[in-house]
Amino acid sequence: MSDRFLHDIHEPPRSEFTHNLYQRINTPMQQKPIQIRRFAFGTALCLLLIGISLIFWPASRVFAQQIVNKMGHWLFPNLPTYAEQYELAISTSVVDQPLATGAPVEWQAPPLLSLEEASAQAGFNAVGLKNIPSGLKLVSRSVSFPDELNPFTAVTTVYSDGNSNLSFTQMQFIESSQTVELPVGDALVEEVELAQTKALWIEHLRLSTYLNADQKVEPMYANVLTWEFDGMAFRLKCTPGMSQEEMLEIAQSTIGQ
Amino acid sequence: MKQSSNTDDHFALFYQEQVDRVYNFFRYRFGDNTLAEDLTSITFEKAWKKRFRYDHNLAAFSTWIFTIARRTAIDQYRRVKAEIPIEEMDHLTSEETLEESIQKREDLARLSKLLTRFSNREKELVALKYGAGLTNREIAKLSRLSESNVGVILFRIIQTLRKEWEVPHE
Repeated sequence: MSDRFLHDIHEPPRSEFTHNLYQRINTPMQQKPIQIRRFAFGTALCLLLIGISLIFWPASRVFAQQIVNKMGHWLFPNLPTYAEQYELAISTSVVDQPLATGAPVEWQAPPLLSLEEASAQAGFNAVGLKNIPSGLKLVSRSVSFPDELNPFTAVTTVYSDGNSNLSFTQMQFIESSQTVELPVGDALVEEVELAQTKALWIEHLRLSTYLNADQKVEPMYANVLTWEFDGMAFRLKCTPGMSQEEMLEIAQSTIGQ
Repeated sequence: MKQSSNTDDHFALFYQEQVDRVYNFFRYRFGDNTLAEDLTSITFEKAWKKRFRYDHNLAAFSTWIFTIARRTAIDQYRRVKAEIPIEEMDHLTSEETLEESIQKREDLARLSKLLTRFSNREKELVALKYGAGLTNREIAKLSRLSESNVGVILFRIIQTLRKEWEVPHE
């Protein structure tokens, strides 16, 4: 089938535009010394004022932290995690403690869709993971759809060895959806390089609780790597935490699939 | 990873190879020559700033520059809804006559109007294929679709566009 009509619309850019653009990006602009001094002084003054406000006004510090911890549609403010907020609500009796009813709950195997099935359900190409540490086995892959709290379609894949869980979530946000918050409490949040894009590393993120081998309640922590690529949001989460290097290696395997 | 001291020379070569394709990618995507120049400038300014981070072992330069171009297009789409003005003639390329140039602009505007019925992904595939001149394989790498998927989607789009294109219009 002839698509000649589409090729015929092709037109080269103006030579003046091409030449000027290259000159502009290639040649550093020469500034007069006095302008540079003024610029440097103004910058130093602004930084000093920002530093003072961050030290003396907690609200501005919180605001700055909220600005820094952002990845695409996700915002990671340094507020108590959802688990911590819930525990606080229970301990102050704002929320009733859930009662043990004693009625047995029938265990249901989590869904294990193939990549093709997940892609068909989600409406986008689901990405698989490589470089999975030995011992971790694929236990589930499921698709979830947008709701009030989560404005995205997600494919979630979980690997487990009985003690550790590695979950990988690929999300496609609804167009024009607002940012979604995930409070990170006191977790360390830093920007890292992933392939040729930026990712956020969240270390020691407090999740809920679990019963240890001695049947004692222990808080659960995870390490998280989150990034965006080609319009999709990705999250890799491991409990208990895997090293940053290991998780970057796993995340790298998803780029370019 | 850092590039060698020849980075700037390589960039000059890559620029000459890719500027036409990037420019036409934006033309086909947004149907506006002036906007296409602006977005091409933004793309290459970003690429120039990040030129030391480009690693030829990880991706071809065309893949890298079009990753930046696509993000620039997404930012633009989020900023404003693309409109399709019919531009006044203010310059000609040396090889074109006035009539040819006007015809091309009318065709571009017409294409943009026809493309409004397609999704952003489909518009982008048309821009990558016919504006940027990428192969289906290159498009598949950028868009995370399979190569056959790209072929099927483009075939469907062209079928529809061709029918509409052949309808006489004013």
